Amino acid sequence: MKKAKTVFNVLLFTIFASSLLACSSGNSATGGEFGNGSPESTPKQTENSGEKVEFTFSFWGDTNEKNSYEKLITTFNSLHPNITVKPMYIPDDYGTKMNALAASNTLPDIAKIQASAIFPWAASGKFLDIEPLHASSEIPKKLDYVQYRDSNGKTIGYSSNNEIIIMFYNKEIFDEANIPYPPASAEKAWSWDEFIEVAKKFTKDKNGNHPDDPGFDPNNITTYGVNMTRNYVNIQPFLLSNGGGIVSPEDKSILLDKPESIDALQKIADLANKHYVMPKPGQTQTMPSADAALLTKRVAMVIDGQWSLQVLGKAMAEQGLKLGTAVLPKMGRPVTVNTGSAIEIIATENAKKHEAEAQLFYKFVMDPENIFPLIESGLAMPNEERWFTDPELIKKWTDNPYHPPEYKESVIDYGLKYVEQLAGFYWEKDVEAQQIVIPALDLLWLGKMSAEEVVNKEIMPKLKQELDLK
Amino acid sequence: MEQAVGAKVRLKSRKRSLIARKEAIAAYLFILPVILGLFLWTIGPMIASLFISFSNWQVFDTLKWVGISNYEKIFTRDLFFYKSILVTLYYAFGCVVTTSVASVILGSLMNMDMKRISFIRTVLYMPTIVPAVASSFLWLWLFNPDFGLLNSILSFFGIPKLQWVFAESTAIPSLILMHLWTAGSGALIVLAGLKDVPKHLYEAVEIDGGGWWSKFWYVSIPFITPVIFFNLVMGFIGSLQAFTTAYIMTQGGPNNATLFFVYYLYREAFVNNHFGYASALAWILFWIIAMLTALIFKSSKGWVFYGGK
Repeated sequence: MKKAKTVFNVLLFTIFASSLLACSSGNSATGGEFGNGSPESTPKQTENSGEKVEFTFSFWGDTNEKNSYEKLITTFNSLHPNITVKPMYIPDDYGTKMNALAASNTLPDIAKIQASAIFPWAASGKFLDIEPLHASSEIPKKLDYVQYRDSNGKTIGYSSNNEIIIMFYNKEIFDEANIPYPPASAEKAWSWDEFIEVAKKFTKDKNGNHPDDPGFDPNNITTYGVNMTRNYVNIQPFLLSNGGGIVSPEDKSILLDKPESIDALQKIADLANKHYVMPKPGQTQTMPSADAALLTKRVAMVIDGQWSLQVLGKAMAEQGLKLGTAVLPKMGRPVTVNTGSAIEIIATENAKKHEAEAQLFYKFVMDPENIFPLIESGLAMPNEERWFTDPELIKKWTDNPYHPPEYKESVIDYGLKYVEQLAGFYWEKDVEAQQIVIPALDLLWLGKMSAEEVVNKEIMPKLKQELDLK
Repeated sequence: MEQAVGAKVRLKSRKRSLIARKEAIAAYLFILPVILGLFLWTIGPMIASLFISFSNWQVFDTLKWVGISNYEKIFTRDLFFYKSILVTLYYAFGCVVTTSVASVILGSLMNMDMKRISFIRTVLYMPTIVPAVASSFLWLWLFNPDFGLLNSILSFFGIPKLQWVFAESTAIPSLILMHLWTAGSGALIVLAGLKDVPKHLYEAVEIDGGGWWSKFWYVSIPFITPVIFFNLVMGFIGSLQAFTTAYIMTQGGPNNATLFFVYYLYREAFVNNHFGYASALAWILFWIIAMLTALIFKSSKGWVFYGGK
């Protein structure tokens, strides 16, 4: 009896102590403040055209995106007096909040959906089908690669904010060294070796030596030729370019263990570990942001998403950064990948009852014209084909101080013809695969293992085990 | 006559029990909010989570019962479970042992009779009040292999630079070092314990010819074993639930070297949407902590000295 009492006391104590510590550990994972406020300026006119419909639209983003979306909503509301859309801005922990809303059956009617959530939610029937809307002529043709497709090939979403991976560089550094700029045209993309050669010319240690000079000190490098975050998105263009990939879009077979993929991974790792032209993992983490790195000439080229133009374009317009944009170097064929988050009409009771009105708002928010401030400032790219082909629209897009002159060739033409999808656009297992692939690749970036060892010994066994179960 | 006395006694005892009952009711009313809160926000969710752990709930879906398959998967087929347990235990033991020792040493230092001792006590305690997120970013800079302060100090002494949290083998030791920085809070409790030590015992040691070490080892330590015990238990419970450093600084890397259990649990729940699976993981953690706590409690009879009784 006494023993049971002690056990019970211990358990009770553990519960108390755990809950005490859980509260006081300052866990900031739930700190997100989700403001619902928007300047209410919906017109008070009551037209007799139909009943009043109310929707909620949820989204995330920085301050610029928040302002842009709120303005979009206000414009929409004034154009459609019988529809009122309320913004739901969720700056942090978007997935957690959406899950909480789902559990309490209070989901928004139209929502931006994170790439990691789109497959489970679609499979669970949470979205209304927007494909008929796109198939009709009501919505101008979207780029083919912005579509999310499930394992049956059915489209489950279209990304609203299109992005591709490109290269930014500082023209001044190239001028000073008298080296031609990186090519803006995909047809003239650098080969991998050309790319390394140029990067070496800009990499210097603290004594001014280049990587091929005798006496080069790899532990004291002050400027780098190129910087790139070695994350899951940025490695995929190079895997594809070399003839490999993560998973095949056609039959979902694993491509990661193909010799071409392994070779591509090794080449990326060699940039830092063999050629010393790129910072190593520990240094990349604490590198200054892209604009600071280019402005202070610590780095000559940066491989990053197009969205960095928002910051870099501003630095170009206001701080005199001589920014250039270029296509990625190719290992085999010139190619880049796109990213983007889908906007979906959620299958709430409200949306199902007023599907026509919901579709009106969906069309409105998916139209690049209505998020034009974000496109103009360089944060986003349009997701519609005509913006890449119609000279009028192209002019509208690029004719401002935030887009360098070669933008049309290096980003718009590139983004029209040379994009292939990330695996996450068509592979449901992508999220789980990432959690296996990314930690294992750490061993490669740190130089502890070769790409061949990492893929065959660390990644493939785990992938096979994980995927065979589902 | 006896009847009257008996009646008076009965009356008195009834009055007393009435007052006692009133006081008891008042007492229960006072603790009612806390008990309600405990049930609503701790015990209730715990039971719910136990229930969920036997399902494969994805939040936006209906609950589907799957029996013990979550637990079965965790122990036989999970790719990260054992690594995560190992990593978390390594971190917890490292933290608790080093921080306990450091607390005792610091507490003894704080006990010294010298000028500005309160200033020193404040300074030593301050790291505890820095928010976890802020200190994560701060230490990330300290750990920078190229420009961080720690590597600069090492190279000043001619020691080769370390990769700190960016390499597998040094990641956990680096995080333990970071935790050591907050030893001040434990030290404060040790200080309180030391203040209770009867001074005549120190004099007795002096008379017997003992120096500061004998005083420390034969008088101070035994008297503060309850405090050390408390720090041990709280330290384990806390560090086994470490999350923020993994979330902010390393995201579980490199190569899962810092895949703390709560971070892994969080990822399963909020990134992969496997709430049933994550609930199962949470309950396993609960039992591990409970067993460890029970072990420490049991062992405490052997070495904890409750002076006076």
